[in-house]
Amino acid sequence: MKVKCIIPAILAFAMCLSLISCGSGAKETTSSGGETVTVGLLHSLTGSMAISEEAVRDAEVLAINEINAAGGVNGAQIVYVEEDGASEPSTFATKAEKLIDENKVKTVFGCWTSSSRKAVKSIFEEYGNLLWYPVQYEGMESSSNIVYTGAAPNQQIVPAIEYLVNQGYTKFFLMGSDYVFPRTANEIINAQLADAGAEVVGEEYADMNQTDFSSIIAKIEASGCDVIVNTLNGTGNVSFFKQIAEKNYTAEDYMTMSFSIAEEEVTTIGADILKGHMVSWNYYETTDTAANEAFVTAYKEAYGENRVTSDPVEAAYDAVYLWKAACEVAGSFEPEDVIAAMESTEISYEAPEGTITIDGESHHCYKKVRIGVVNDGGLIDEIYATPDAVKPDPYLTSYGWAAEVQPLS
Amino acid sequence: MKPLISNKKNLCFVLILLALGLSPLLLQMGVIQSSSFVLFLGKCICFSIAAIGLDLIWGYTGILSLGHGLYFCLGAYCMGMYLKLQATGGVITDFMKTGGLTELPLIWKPFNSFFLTVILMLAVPAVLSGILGYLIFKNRVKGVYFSIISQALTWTGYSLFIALSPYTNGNVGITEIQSLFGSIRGSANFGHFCGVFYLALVVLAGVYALSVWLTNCKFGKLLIAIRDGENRTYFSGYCVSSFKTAIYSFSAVLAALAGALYINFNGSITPSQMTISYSITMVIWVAVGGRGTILGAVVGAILINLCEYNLSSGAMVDLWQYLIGGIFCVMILFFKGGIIGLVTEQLPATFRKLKNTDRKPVRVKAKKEGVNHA
Repeated sequence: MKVKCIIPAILAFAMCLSLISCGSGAKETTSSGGETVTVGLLHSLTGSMAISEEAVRDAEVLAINEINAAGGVNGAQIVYVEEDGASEPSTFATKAEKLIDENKVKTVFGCWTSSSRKAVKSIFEEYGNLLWYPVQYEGMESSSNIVYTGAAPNQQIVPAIEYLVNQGYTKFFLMGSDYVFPRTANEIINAQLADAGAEVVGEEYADMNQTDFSSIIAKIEASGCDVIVNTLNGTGNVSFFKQIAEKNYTAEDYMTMSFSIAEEEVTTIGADILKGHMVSWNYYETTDTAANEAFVTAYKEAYGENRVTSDPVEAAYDAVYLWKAACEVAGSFEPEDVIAAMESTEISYEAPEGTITIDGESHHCYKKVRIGVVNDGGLIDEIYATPDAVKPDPYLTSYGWAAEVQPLS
Repeated sequence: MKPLISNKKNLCFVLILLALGLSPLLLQMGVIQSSSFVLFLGKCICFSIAAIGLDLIWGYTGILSLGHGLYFCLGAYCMGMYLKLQATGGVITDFMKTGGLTELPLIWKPFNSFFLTVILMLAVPAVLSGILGYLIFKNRVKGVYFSIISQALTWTGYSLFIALSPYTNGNVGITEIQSLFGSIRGSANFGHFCGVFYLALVVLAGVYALSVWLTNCKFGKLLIAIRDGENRTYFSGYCVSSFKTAIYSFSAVLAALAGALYINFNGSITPSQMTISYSITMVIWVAVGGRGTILGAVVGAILINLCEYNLSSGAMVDLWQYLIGGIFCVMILFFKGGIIGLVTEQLPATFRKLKNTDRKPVRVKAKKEGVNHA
């Protein structure tokens, strides 16, 4: 009797142990012989962010495959380990730790949302590893263990507002989703417009999952604005633009300037609705460079003709090449050597958007700013571009009006 | 028979506790290679504490709460606010400044003191759940209606925390903090890590012992009575709503305790732990482990999280959620008692059957049994 009672206990214990040991054995990635270097890809492949992040992951895989086909980095083939952040910041933190500590990756390409980046930031700092973050964001941050290959506010938001003011727009309506990027962006825009002498006639925030924009549209109509600065993210854009189109408003009635609408979102919302509206990015699929032609062809060849490239996709692709360039300068894969190389030498890469260079001081990139207009075919035509790549200034220290939006430290 | 069964489960728990307790030592000896895995075990300890709380109300009392993420987050935010103030030295943070605040808001001030933090961390969820529980149970709201209210509650909490971003940092939450003992990452901080890890382990052991004691004394018997026949319990002269409120409050405090420990391991807390889907995940831990047994909650929370940890990478990266969902469906359909039910009842029953068929000399009967098994 006694013996029989203990059997279940032992069984349960054995189950626990087998899973524990299964976890402790770090998965060795098989290589085809020769030297390899392991990197991590950390994006949401499930959950609400998967739709955006999968395209970015695809771009990173494309770059890795291209580099491997061309002989690898410092003679080593790149092996990548994928982790799913499941659209949840805490999962990102757990997985970042797993990649760094268990898989011993030399660097990680990953994240999209600001909340996921903030959740992993201190982990990368504490382990001394390196994260490549490919999305434009709200700025006011820099870390020696993160490289931001997307735009800082002064490479997307500030020039776009400057452009609008120069075009003669005077009454601005600010609208965004209720989270950190739109809040910070609008704080910056308010300060900039006050300095430029333009007027903010309304500022509204929509819930992340909001689908009914009738009250916001009513406020827009009442405000008498001549341009809407749109920082909505995700599904909110679809609802907003559909509802404004249902009222038969076009870009001539209410011009919008969007910071989160790229080629992919245009496909979802519909080119007929978005036609004529303005956006601001550093790269469009139509950007006219030889490198971009090759990139767009390779991307469509790998993932299908109906796929489009966009700014974050391109920035993610660049990140892998920038890391390669930094490793070659450093002559090593160790994160501290790569970081040291970035800070002492100018690492640059002939990207699809033009030459981009890492600013060793802020860990952001020099990038050209391009204002575009959505065309009939669902792509975006460039209507204005800065003559040179703009120096990144995440804290906006070079702008006099920005003093009050800068963080404490 | 009864005490024997509970003893056996306790033995099993002690073995799990030992396995967990040894893991940092095994790490130090190099048997376990990655410290991130042991750190994840620490998070699993916190999840088991929350699962025990949920099991007490669902498994024992029959109240299905789909909103325990709210209490988990309340505890985590209380601890997070203290840790954040430790990190910034008590001055206002960047997100408060972005939100237009010029000095530390009143609600943050108590969190300068560790003593007050611990009190608030336990009192806030206890009082909130106490008031809500009192109103809900006094009005005899039960079953699926209670589940819906609990979901609405956690959703309200989520929306509030997002909307009050100058105070809570919206959906980014509280980040860039270190544990109670300082940084726990890297081999240099192994001592700090052990501090947090064993603290969590001691809390888990305490919570387990308290819960087992609670379920074995008269109070626990009453909870089961409420689950199995609420009206009969009323007619026996017991004030069912007070018992329900008490156990609901207790389980909310356990969830908060779990959250407060969790943030030490995770280094950040966001409102995403307050979403309905996360709260339902907690229920899944209990369901898979085996509800109605404290051990089941612990085993379920640890196993499900280990599965997620190991499956959601590499080759499985696109498939893992289907796998976890599949495991859940199979458990619910075929093993109602969860893993514990499977191990303590269904497997022994099968063994007994097999043994009996071996002994039985009657050929026809044995053949029939064999067919059944095939």
